[in-house]
Amino acid sequence: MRPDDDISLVERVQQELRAARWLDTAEVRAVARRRSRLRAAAVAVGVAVLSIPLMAVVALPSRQATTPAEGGAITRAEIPFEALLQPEDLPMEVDAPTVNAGLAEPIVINPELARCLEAKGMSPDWDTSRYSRSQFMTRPDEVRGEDGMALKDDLSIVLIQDVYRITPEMERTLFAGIDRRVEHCLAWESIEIGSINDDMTEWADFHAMQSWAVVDRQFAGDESVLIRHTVGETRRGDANGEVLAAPMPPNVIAVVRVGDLVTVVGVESGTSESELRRLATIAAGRLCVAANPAC
Amino acid sequence: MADVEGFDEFYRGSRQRLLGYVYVLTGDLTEAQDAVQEAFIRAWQRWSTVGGYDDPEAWVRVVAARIAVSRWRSLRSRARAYLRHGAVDNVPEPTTDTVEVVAALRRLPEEQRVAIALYYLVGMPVADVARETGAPVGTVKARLARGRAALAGLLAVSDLEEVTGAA
Repeated sequence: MRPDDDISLVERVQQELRAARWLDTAEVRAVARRRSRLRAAAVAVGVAVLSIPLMAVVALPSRQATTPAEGGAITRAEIPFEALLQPEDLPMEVDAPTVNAGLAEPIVINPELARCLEAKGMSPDWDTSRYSRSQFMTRPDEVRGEDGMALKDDLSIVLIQDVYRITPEMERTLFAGIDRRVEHCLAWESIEIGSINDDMTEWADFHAMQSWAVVDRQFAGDESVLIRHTVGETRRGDANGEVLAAPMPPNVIAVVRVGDLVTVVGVESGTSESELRRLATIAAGRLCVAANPAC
Repeated sequence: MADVEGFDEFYRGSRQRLLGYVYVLTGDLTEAQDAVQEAFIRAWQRWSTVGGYDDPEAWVRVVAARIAVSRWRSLRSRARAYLRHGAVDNVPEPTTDTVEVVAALRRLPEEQRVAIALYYLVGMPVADVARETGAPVGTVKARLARGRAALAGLLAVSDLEEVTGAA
């Protein structure tokens, strides 16, 4: 049995949930049907107009083994906090970082890129790291962004960083795999349902053209790429295609390798590419304390 | 012929439970509802497969959680903010309870939030939480205890018991 105090917590949450309104079951099925038709049409257009090679479906690298290659002596396994970006590296005040550690975690470059690949019939099949450490940093509550788009109770994340320790084999293949994944998602129309308003009385399919591109490379560490993710106007998925939101500021992601450590650094939407390059360069320097071979 | 009745019953019977789970994960009710609704649409698209699983709710739970927590800042949040720009007065103010609960949940490390959500909102036994999260039973108990202790402090709830006998 749950103790009484926990019931209180559950009741408080349940109280909030009473405000939820749901699509009718028939509407859920109708949206799913419409999606399936759209997807089938999009695939047909892709084959006829863009001539996407069928072999692309199997072009991604297979998941790598997580054990070191033969003869690859691993001298440092743990990823210490010192190997991560520090609050003082950022140009704004942030709260203390929230940090997690992991074992055999997938090296996820960008979750939206995974959605794109899946929608195009490919598995993202992210490479698997040996060890990882992740962190995110947020603005202090009282210093929220003033971009006009932030929800007033939104968690204002300014930095997400993952650091992965990889195998020697992966050191040779990881960046080529990133290039191949990005090439498949130069243009993708995403569709997802959401409520138009906060009282959840009106629902719509949100359509947006998304694209990814490698816009810079070899600017930090042993290997590096800068990926730009752009999202065009968000439109309602009906005949009128009403614009629901303006294009987002581009989102940039840096991937840097130093020896057997790889870091993926994401910053809040709208951060300049030069600022991310600066952070990525600092991140590369900090990886040195834990990389094999040492630098 | 697709199993319409089976899906409808599943949808009506599990959606609130799944919403509670994702809400605890994200601390944002609207985002949570979007994610759960989206997950059910994807479930119906694959219902011939998902409906045959021993536990289709587990599939929807994983999909909804992935949708909800993997977003940097979702298209839908941005669209809603865009639409109400200049009409902020129409947005209902959150209740004091909401502010407390959301703030408390957001301060928990992710693994504690997941454990709390599965145990208290989905109603899973500790052993099932352990299986779902790939963690030993003892670790899940520790996460629940730490999560409850943190929530107790943040929500000003006192006199908590340990979860060690919860399995």
